[in-house]
Order: sequence, then structure tokens, then C-alpha cells
Amino acid sequence: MLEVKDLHSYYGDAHVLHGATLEVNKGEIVALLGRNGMGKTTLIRSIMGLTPPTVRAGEVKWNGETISGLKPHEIASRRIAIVPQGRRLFSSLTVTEHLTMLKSPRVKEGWTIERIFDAFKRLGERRNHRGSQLSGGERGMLAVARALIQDPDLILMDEPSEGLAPVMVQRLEEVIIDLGKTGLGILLVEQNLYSALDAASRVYIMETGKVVHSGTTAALKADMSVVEKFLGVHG
Amino acid sequence: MSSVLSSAVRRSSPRATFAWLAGTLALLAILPAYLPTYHVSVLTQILIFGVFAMSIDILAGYAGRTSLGHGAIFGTATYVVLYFVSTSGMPLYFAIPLAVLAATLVAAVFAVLAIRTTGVYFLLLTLALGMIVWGICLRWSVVTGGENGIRGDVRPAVIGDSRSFYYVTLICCTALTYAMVRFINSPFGLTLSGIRDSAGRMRSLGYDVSMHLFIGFVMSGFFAGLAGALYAMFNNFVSPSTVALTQSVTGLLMAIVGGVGTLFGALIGSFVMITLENFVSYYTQRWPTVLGLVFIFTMIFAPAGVLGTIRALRARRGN
Repeated sequence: MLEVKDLHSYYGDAHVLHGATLEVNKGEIVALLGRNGMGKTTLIRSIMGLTPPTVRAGEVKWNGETISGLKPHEIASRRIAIVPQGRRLFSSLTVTEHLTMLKSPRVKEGWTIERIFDAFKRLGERRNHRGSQLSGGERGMLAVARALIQDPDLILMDEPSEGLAPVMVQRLEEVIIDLGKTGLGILLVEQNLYSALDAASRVYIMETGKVVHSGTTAALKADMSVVEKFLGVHG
Repeated sequence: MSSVLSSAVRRSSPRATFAWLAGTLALLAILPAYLPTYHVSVLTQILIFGVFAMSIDILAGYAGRTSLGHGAIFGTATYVVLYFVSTSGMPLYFAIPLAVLAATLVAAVFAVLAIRTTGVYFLLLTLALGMIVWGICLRWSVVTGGENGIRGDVRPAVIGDSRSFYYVTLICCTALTYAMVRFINSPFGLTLSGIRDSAGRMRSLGYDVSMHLFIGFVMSGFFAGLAGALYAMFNNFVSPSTVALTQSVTGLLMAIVGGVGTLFGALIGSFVMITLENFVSYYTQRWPTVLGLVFIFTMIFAPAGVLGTIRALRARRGN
């Protein structure tokens, strides 16, 4: 489904990704872990074709087609959505407008606004509130909803639990697990180790722009020395 | 500016908005019966420039791109109507679509050149493009009549009197306002608001920001062209001053005085500025000074414009 092969990305002359390689299969939740500044967000941005960074070598393939070098809107049109770091909502638009912008209310297929409000009851209650009037949890939900309404086959989630209260992190984790059961592929970038391990079936760990570990979540849970080594977390 | 915009875009409930609009429309429909012909003409002018200012507001208020080239787009339509009807004898119902098409094409050329810029660069580029159109109108005298312009009675006899033409203008203005409201509230229109808030954010969501801005500019030009075609029938005369920078500035000031990013505010701005221009000039030759003072007063005490300030006050009272 998504194959990233030996990707090298740069911010100006700074070489940030040093040959990152990973795969996300259909309907699979894959966690991408790593400490701050290891290149996780750079990898997500490189997959999505966002600049900066600049991809100078390597390849991103989606369902067998090379998508590296395409513009972000061309990549998005191939049913890849992103939940960007920090949510990046629009403060002047209401919840409904955030969703209407991406899909007309007249469209009755896939993830409709009604279906979104059914899945995220709190957003339905806050439908006329502006982005600036939402709580952190609601903003996180809206960022996920905004990706879902594009009917993606793959969502790239960049630290969706960032800044959320523990109870909201748990709720978001449930949402991600439920979405995974619908056949949606998710590449989940997280600093919250336990949240990521609960949701994902496979894990990649990045260090200094390279993937230094890959394996199943079960294997990682069984051998936490890897976590201790690369993430500095004591199991 | 963004804080001004964010407060300005607060909207009333749909029912309250509908009641206001229905009341305003009813008032505009019955007013001509009680007004002398001159005042009816002033009202007609207010409506036409209201549409023009709203077309500017689509770009300035919703897409966050302030244009100083819209006077040229507006005036292109006016020139085309007057040229083809009075010089070539073309029927008005052919000349108007042709004029709107010409204005839309001019807008498309402006858009191609300007959409990759923002802020002061966008402002200066649209200003320069508008000046080029003004220069062509001034120098290409074989077609445009040069400084003398083009004069001709293009308005059909059936709407020849001020009141009949006023009602035609009112119907057109209502239809165009409705179309613009639908446009800015459509999924596409909302993407323009997203681009205004953050083009980078829209790009990261997978939007082709340049293409959306291009379409937004062209649509804005289309509405400005329609206003320009109406103005040709209203004024029966066009000269380089119709496409000049002052025309763009006037439209922009109307949008600012009424409230950038409120759409209907542009109509209020048109009312304020044209009323002042017509009635203050009756008493003093220094009416531009009065207009200037009104603008300064608005910028200092109500930077969100008339409608933006009303909405902000209502929102504050609601909180």
C-alpha cells in the first residue's frame, strides 16, 4: 500500500532524513516512534509532498505508483489524508464549515457530515463553534474528522494526542482503533508510547533521520530494552 | 488585520439575517415611490457600486487578497457595452454577456500574474495591471475614444426612465448578492477563507492554493464585470476615469467602511460613500475632505467597518 524507500530529505543544506524506509499495509495501524527532532514530522511531510523539506533521494510509492515529486493536492487526491501536527484548524471557521469545505453536504457517500457527527458526538454538539472556541480534545477530534471526511484509504497522523488531557488521549486512542477496524490504513506518529502501542499492530522507531527498529507491537512489548535504548523510556 | 477579520466574520442567526434582508429589500422596493428622480438615481448608483464593492470583498475579505485592479475589470465591462452598442450597433443582450466575458478574461489575466504574491506585492501588482488597462483606454483612442471616452444611449427605451431602471438594477443586485452569498458559503468559498487564514495550512491539507485563488479572483472579476455592465446602462458614458485607480480605491474603501469580510457591509459602504459624495457636495466643494475624515474615523474607531463592528458588539453582548 504505502512504501517509503530510502528517503533522504533536507531543510536547506541540513540533511534530516538519512534513508528512511517503512511500509504501511491496507487496514493496518503502524506507529512511528522517536524522540523529538528525530525526523518523524519531516518524514510525514515528505510523504505528503509538503515543502520544506525537499526530498532529494529515495521514493514514496502508493499502491504501486510513485508519488514522490507530486504536489500535495495531487497526493491528497489519491486518498491520502493528513492530521497535521498542532491540528492546524482555522480559527474563523465553524466546525461545520471545516467539514463542508472538504465535502459538500449534498454528497451522501462515504464519510458524510452526519456520519462524522454521529461518530464524534461532541463535535455535533459544537457544530456552530469556531475553531478558536474549541477545547484541545475537540480540536483533536475535528482534525481527525477533517481527514476522515476526505474518505481516505490512508491517514498520516502527526502526534494527534499532543497536548491532550489523559482522558482525551484515551478517547482518541479508541477512535483510532475503531478506524483501523474499518479497513483504513493509519501511520501514527506519536511521542505517547503507551497510546501508540495500544493502537498499532506494528512499530517503527526513528533515530537521527533513520528507521532503527521495526517489528510488531507484541514483540516490542515483550522486549522493552529497544524502547529503553532508543526512546529512553524505562519499561 | 486578521483579528479584525475574525471578529468581522461573526455572523448573525440565519433567521435574523433573513428578517434584516427582507426588511431592507422591502424598503428598497417602496422607496422610489416617495423619492424624486435624482434620489432614485443615487440609489441605483449605490446598488451598482454595492455589487462592485462586494466583488472586491470576495477577494479582500474572504481570500485575504486586496486588489487595486478591480476598477479596471469593472470599467472593461463598461467600455465593452458602450463600444459595441453605440459604435457597432450590437444589441444590448449580446453586448452585456460579451462585456462580462471580457471583464472575466481581464480578471483571469490579472489572476495568473498576481495569485502567487501576497500582501503589499499583490496590492502593487494589481495596481500596476490596472494602470496598464487605464493606459490602453487612454491611448487606444480609435476604439476607446481616448480622453473623450464613449457616449451612447445604451439603455433600452423600456427601462429608459430612472424608476424602471432602478427596479431592474434592484432585481439584478439582489440576484447577484444571492449568488455571491452562495459562492462564499459553498465548499469552494470556504476554502478561500481557509487560504486567507493560512495558505500553508491549506496546502498541508492537500489543496491547490494557487488554483483556488485563481478561480476566486476570476469569480470576483465576473461579479465586478456584471456591475460594470450595469454601470454602462446607468451612466451611458465611459472614459478612462472609469478604469482608473480611483475607481478601484473607491470600491475598496466601500468594502472597508462597510466591513471587510462581511459581504453585505460592502452595500452599506456603498450607501455611506455615495450618499456622502452626493449630499455633502451639495453643501460644500470640500466633500472629499469629509469622505477622508469618515474613512479615518472608521479606521480608528471601527476598524472592522460598520457591519463588522455591529456584529462584534452583538457578539460581545451575547457573551
